[in-house]
Amino acid sequence: MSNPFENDNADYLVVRNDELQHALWPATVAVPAGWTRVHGPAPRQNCLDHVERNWTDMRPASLVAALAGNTARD
Amino acid sequence: MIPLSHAQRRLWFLCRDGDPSGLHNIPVGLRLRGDLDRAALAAALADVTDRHEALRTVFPDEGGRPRQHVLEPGAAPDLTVTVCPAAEHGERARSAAGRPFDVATEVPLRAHLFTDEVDEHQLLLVLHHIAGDGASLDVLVHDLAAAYTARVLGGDAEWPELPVQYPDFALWQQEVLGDAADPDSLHARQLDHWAGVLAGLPEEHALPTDRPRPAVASHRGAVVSAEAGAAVHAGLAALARERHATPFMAVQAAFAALLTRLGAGTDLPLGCPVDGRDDEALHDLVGLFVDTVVVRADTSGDPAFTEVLDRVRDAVLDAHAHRDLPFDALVERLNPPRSPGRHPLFQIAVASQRDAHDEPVFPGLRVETETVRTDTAKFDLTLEVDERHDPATGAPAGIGLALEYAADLFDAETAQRLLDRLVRLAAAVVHDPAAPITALDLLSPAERADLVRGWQGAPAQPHATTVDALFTARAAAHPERAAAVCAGREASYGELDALSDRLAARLARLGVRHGDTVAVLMDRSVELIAATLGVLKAGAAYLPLDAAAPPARSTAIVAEAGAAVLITDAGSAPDLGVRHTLRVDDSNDNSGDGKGGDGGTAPDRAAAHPDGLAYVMYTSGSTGTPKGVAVSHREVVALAVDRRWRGGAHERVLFRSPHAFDASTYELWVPLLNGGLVVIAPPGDLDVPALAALMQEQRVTGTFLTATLFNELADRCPERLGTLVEVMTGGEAASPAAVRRVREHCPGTTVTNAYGPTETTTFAATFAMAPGAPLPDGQVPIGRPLDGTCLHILDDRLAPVPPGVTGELYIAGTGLAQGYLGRPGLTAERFVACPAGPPGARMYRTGDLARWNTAGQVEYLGRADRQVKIRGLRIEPGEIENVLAGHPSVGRAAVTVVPTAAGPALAGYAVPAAGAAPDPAELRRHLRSELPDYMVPLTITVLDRLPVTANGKTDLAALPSPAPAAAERPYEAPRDDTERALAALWEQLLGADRVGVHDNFFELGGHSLLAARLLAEVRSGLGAAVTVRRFFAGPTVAELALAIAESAAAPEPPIVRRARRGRPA
Repeated sequence: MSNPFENDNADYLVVRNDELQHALWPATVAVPAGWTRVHGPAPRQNCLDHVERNWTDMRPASLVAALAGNTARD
Repeated sequence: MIPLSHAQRRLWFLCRDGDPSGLHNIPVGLRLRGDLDRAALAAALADVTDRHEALRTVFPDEGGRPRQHVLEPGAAPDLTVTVCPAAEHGERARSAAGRPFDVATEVPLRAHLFTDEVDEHQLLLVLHHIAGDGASLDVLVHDLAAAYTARVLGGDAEWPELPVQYPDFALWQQEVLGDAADPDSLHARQLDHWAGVLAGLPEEHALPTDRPRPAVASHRGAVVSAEAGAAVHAGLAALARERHATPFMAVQAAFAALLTRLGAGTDLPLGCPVDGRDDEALHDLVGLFVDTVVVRADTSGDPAFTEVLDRVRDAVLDAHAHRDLPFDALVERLNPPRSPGRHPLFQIAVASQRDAHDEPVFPGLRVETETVRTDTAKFDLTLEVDERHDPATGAPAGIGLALEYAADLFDAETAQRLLDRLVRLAAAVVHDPAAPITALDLLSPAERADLVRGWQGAPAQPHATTVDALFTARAAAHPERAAAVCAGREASYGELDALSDRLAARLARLGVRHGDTVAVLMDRSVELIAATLGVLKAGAAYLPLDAAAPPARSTAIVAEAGAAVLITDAGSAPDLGVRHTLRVDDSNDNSGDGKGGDGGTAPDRAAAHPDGLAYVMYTSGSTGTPKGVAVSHREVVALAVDRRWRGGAHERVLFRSPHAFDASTYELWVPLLNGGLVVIAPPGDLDVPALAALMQEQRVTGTFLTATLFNELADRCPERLGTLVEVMTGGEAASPAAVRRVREHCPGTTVTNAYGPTETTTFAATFAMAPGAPLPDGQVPIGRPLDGTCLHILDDRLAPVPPGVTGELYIAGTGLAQGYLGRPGLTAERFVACPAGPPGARMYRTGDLARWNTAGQVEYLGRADRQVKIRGLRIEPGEIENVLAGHPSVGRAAVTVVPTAAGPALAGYAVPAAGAAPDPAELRRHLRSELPDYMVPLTITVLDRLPVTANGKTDLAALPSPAPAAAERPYEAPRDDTERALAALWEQLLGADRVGVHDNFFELGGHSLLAARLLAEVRSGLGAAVTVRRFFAGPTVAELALAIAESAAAPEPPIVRRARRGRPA
């Protein structure tokens, strides 16, 4: 068995959920509910590079929003 | 001399040592109701035996060479009559059906009549396979009916004379095949063809079994059955038509696809019987005309079912076109490694049941033919396919499926599940024949419900709070209660709360804000706990550092995590490149600093959020760069409030793990957030007796020990764990021997196997063995997930695998870390979208192999990236380690792959159990008895201890190279007369030059019939009777000499005989 996330010859997607968390996903498997494709199909490294460039705040979006709310109230 | 047909030679060889279970008996039952003329029946039996020479042939041998000896007419077996109530007929028939034959002296037919002496009779006919096959039974029964009819009417049976007899067939076969040595003969041409078709065949299938394969198969077996309905039958028939195949080929293809899905691999040799009654002259003849061909089903590349069907069709047609070659000749040519534990070339068979003939007519009797089963299995699995058709229209009416399974390997439930899955898979391919086979649904609705809900963690109670808020609430509720104790110093909840408040204020003054990271490098102490809490109260995440790590590594970690402040105690003062170093010790902390001082810098409490980070722990990555696992408050709280900690076992918990390792999350927060006590072990590494003494003295109730430490305690002083309510172990596969030992010595203690990567907040699953609960057979499961957590075992399409099938383990739900700090790419690679959870949920990809067992517990099977392929076979070193560690003399075991001149090979390592001295040869014997040959390491090296990594796991890379001498088998000359005589005999039989005492008979070109001849020579020349089985278990001169010595009770003096026969001495 080969892990579907470890195939350098396969295409991948970058998917993102409502928390703006990014994840790698095999291009041949249906994207799970609650996730949106934001990049790909593209080679694995290309997808990871996309993640590195675009997922700059790794905190969940709801946490960022909650903290922004606190600051606004201060 | 009449030779045996090829199929007969094979049977003869298989039965040479006797056939104790009646494995090769073919029984048929006839229920006869009404007035039975017993004399007529006996006469009819004699008539039939006279008619068919095969029924009165015996098989004597000379020097291991058998021949057919046809007895004169009148050799019919007696009709044995048993008078008993009708209710007993079935059971009595079953037991009579399994009685063995001695084919050398006995006619191969037996007849039993069970009768109530009124009107219920059961006639049992048992034919030995050497004299017939399934079709022969029909001939036999119908000829018997005809003869009985004639006898009842007072006449002789009138039947057309048989044009040929079986011996004619045997001679004809020999002529047609020709001499194997003649390259133009049919024999030679087919041999070449088959050698090409079957080149590189796996030695044995990789289908997971319930039990390891025994060294010698018992051939005990049973049958389960299932039915594919008319719609599925019609669908398969239509599919088959479309692909120019038969419905039976479609079932073969579906079976092959199923085996692949269940883990048997993609190169599947299936044994298929083929009927050799081509010639019209053979149709009405009793005799063995069936031989076996190998259909090599190829399911590689995740093809659509239609593609598998095409491949199977081609393989079947090709096999039929080359079926004249006797199976044995093929085995001799391909010469696969033999084992008395498995069938050569294939272990899984598929057979088509022939259409049922009309019931025979016995005048005055109502007749019903019954299948009588013996409790045997020829192969690991045999699928019997019985297509039924509407008698009126000929339309498909359903497929009866029966699966005969070897009871050595499989449980009835497993076999039944396998067959039920075949029915489900057949329905799925009919529905969507173009789907890739890995996309076919194999799960029943009930299994799906178990995998999705039933076996998963109970819903977690939502706790939207922070670690420090929950602690503060505890401190407010019981400020006086002891929270931590260290070397005689006790701190109450109130005290810890105050200490941590002061520290939080100091951090705030240094500019620490919400979302920051604060490094902590301290010895285990009350102050360490206060500092950790203080960091959280300041809104920051703690970054625990390992005092044992080189400063360069700690410096790199601090820089990557962006920690501006380091909290340390007087004991350590490294320069890690931080902006501020905060020293914490008693005197300092009690000084003016703690009073809050200048004010205006109160901790950033308002920003506290359960999704804020509580800690960052660095773990070593497989690539070498450490990665910081970032865990939020929510997940730490969820771990602490899990319901499995209730009940008092975790009220007094030992804190002994280094702060930088995630076991400390359990050790600190489970007691502190539940109002319990942390028992702090003194700084540094504790030896085992000191640790045991501390636990006893402080009445520790619960603790987590790494597998290494647990095993050491189990070895040296298991009874010292008896004061614990629960001891958990984890980090590596639990040693069943150590678990057993602790349970024996501590009958009142719950022993728990715990599993969890740092990325899922310490524990993801546990398997608790409460006092009195049975210890599972084999390996210790990792159990079921924590509250709110889900374990998904998925295949490479990310679909759940059925129970019993190995897949990769993914963890979802409660406990998931936020990711790797500052490493978005790495996080996106390991924390992926979860196809099973609520929308938008993530799951962590563990890289571990696991399976659900049938009890709904997860079993850990090692790292996916340790899986190796040797001789084309997939091997899990972890599985071998489990078996090696299961030997009583072994405490710990490791298995790695080492390069050798002949390619990669397995190397085993064993650490002795307490007071034991393992013998590598004995350990290899033990492994051989539990594992297939290809999984037995070439070398076993005994070590005092296994090298361990910083976090206490076996460091496989640091294992020494195995001694090279042990890896090869040099020529060793015979050492005594017996060995010399045997070596000479081998040289003669095998045409070999120089046979060493450890050379393998089969590797030198020997085959089963030569083995029979060899043993015949041994019997006559050395006066020792060695069974084929015994010889197969050790096919070397040395082992054979040993076997002869074992049978030395034999009265004949071997020397005399050898001398008389002029054998070289």
